[in-house]
Amino acid sequence: MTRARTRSAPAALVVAGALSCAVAAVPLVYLVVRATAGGVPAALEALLRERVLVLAGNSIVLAAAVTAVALVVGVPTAWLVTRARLPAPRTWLVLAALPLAVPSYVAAFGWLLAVPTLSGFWGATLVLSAVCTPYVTLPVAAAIRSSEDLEGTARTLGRSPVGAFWAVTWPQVRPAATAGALLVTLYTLSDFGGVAMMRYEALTWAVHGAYSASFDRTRAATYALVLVALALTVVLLERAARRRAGARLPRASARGGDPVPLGPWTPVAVAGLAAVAVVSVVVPLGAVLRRFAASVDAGLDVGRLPAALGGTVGLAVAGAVVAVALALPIGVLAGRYRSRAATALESASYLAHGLPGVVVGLSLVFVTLAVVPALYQSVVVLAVAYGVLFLPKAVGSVRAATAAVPPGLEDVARTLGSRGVGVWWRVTAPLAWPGVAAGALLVALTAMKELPATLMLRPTGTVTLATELWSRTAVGAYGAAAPYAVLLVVVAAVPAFLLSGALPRRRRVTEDDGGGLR
Amino acid sequence: MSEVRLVGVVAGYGDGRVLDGVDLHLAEGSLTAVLGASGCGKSTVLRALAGLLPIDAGSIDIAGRTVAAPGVHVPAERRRVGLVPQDAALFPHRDVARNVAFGLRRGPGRAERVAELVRLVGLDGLERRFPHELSGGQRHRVALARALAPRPDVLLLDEPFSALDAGLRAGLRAQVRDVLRSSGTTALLVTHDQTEALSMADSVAVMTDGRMAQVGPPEEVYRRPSTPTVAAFVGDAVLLGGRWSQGRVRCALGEVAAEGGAVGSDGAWVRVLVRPEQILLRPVGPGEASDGRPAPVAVVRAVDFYGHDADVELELVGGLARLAGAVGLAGGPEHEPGPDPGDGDRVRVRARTASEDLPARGSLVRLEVTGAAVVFPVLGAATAIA
Repeated sequence: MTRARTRSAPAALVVAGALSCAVAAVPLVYLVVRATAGGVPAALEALLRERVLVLAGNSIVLAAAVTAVALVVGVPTAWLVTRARLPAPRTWLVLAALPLAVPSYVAAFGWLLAVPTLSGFWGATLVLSAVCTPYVTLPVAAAIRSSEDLEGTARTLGRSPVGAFWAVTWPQVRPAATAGALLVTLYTLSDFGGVAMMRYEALTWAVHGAYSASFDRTRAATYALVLVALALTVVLLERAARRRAGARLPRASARGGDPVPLGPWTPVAVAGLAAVAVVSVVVPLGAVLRRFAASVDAGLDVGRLPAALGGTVGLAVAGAVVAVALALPIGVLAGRYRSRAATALESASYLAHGLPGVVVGLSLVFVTLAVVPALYQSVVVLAVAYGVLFLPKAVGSVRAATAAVPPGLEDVARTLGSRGVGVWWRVTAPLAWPGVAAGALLVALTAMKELPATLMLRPTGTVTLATELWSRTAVGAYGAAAPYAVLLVVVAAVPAFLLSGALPRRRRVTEDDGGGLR
Repeated sequence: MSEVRLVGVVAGYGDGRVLDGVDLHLAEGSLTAVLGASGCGKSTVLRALAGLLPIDAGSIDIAGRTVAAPGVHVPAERRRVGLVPQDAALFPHRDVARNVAFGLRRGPGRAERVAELVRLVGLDGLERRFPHELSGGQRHRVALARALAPRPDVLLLDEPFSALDAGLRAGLRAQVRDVLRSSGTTALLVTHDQTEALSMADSVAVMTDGRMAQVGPPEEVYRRPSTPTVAAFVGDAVLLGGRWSQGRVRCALGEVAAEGGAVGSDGAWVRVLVRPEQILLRPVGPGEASDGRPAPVAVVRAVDFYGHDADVELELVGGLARLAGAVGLAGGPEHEPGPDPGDGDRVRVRARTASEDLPARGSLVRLEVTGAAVVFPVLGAATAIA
């Protein structure tokens, strides 16, 4: 029997969640206010200028191209790594996921080292496709793996292998692929570092350009507004698609299916997978490592490396603290109560996915200068920017950690005389905090790679790995930039490693407590 | 003074009404089992009693205090109820002693009370173990100790043994009953396992469609079920059509003494309940099988051997079988009266017998009913059909 949670959400929690969402909404609200300050007609006129349309078109074309490549490459890759009988199967799976550990601007940097003439649309498409394809490959692979039992059942009911795939596996794959593809679209629209290094005139680069070259607030705000509109549209589509995908995804079976022998096609499949790995991992990382080795041979100039590392870690930790603080009320509400307020707040926080770093950065510069100039270029503002940017990630972690604590435990605690806050403090919090802490760690590691907001908001004199890589590349000092790229990849690999399940699962909560009074 | 009284309790989730006027009285120190099919609302009774689910109408009194009524809702933490959930729901971050201590106030006597309960449930020496280091049965005993520690007015057990294997279950049931008796705790056990309900409880409440269909001592509920539905749920039932006359009933199993009070005038159609263990198998005498005399004779269709006993599936043959078909059969307790065209003369009954001297499949046996059958009036057919 399913039992809805009938207790209504505590008002204090709802108010705190609403405050978090309000903080997250500040950049967006400010942009709208700013863009329409001169009246709506003027704003519309600014929006419809040819330059804006060209930039928006550039962003859309790039996003479409990258999404198409990711689908065409990602879906077959997913099938091969999950179902085909290949030599060294684990290796291909790792190689397919590895590009997640390469920030787009590091991949671009690597490719520029290898092929210095690369630039523009094709360069951006190549780099972003390489980096983004895992967003299709991984969910599709999960969908295929989870439908193995179904496929076996369909086979026993008389379907051919191909017939079984179409009848049961494809309906699982399609929504997963759709959701993954929309994620790729979103990341491509929001990407700043990759397109900037490839000198492709997308909206993100134009926002940054308008801001840094002329400090032209109105123009930058106009570009940013168009960018946000595009990104939010994709976020809404992605959320809808992911809901459909998630609702139908059965649990992955413990045992794998029998791998399909490819016969004479095996070398072709291996060559294809190898080619993808070469483009997305081997070339960029190889070039970076080669340049790094060369600079070590020439006597590594440690220079600002320690300062950059310290700055990166310090800022990221501050950002993670802000993100988790903002996320706590929303995540707890979403993990525990099925009320309308909880759902609305969680959905609102999810929209922060549609705020590209360059937009949050720009907007917070304006807000700070207008409202609290004393805080301009202080750690506080950058931490808030990180908090807003990574709010959905933190909310997801808090929600999962809270929801993993069986409500039956809280019921028992109440019958034993504990009240609201007491139950939370004595039962829920001790069980949920490892998950929340892991979420904070993930946010911190993600914040370490952040480039555009960091460029705009970092305190004067503070350097990070990303900004150092950026400024060295900008002046053509590739050799000096290489060590920063290597460190960034190491930093970025940690969350990929954590997410891939290399850490032991939290045994005590997951193992002992099944359904019960739920 | 820790009796519990539910009067006309209505409750549900969202728009769905799960409890539809539940009346139940738990005598002080007694163990009552609520027995029902899954989905009948028995766990909801428990949640409503615990205060985890507000009720929409009716009232709940625990130990002389009204804890739920229109405008009254004492929250779970102030109801003084103990709860033993299905999965034990031990706090995974606390060891055995700290689980048991959870509901106890800090202060003198706390450690003693924990030690006392750990001893009571037979877990001495395991106080420092964590839940994941315990076996399934041990976890449930910890859950029991934890629930009993604050001396609740009533203890609620939500199918506490369903996750355990059969051997463990029987042992744990006996232990739990002993612990409850020795502590004198009023308890309510929710289960779908009739054996559990009948063997453990002082009182059994059979629940159907959000109401209590019958409440009484286990023997009474089994021997004198109030409706065919209750009869079919508590134990196995052979339900046949028959005609009532002068305290006896004529049915496919011959003429049997009838219990169940006045069901109408002589010759009224009734429904007849016989328990499988009341049907005795006798060898068929020479000439009995085919002469059409009203002695119930059956062909053995199947034998299910269980070790301690066996079920014998029988198909009645001969003239008496037709009588059975005249009123709805064992297949559905609420059958409309009237001829059953599909089954014709094929009437099947189930007998339970000691597992020695089992008849062979296909052989003929004569049936004899020991003890009295229970009869129920047939709605709309109380008058005799001439």
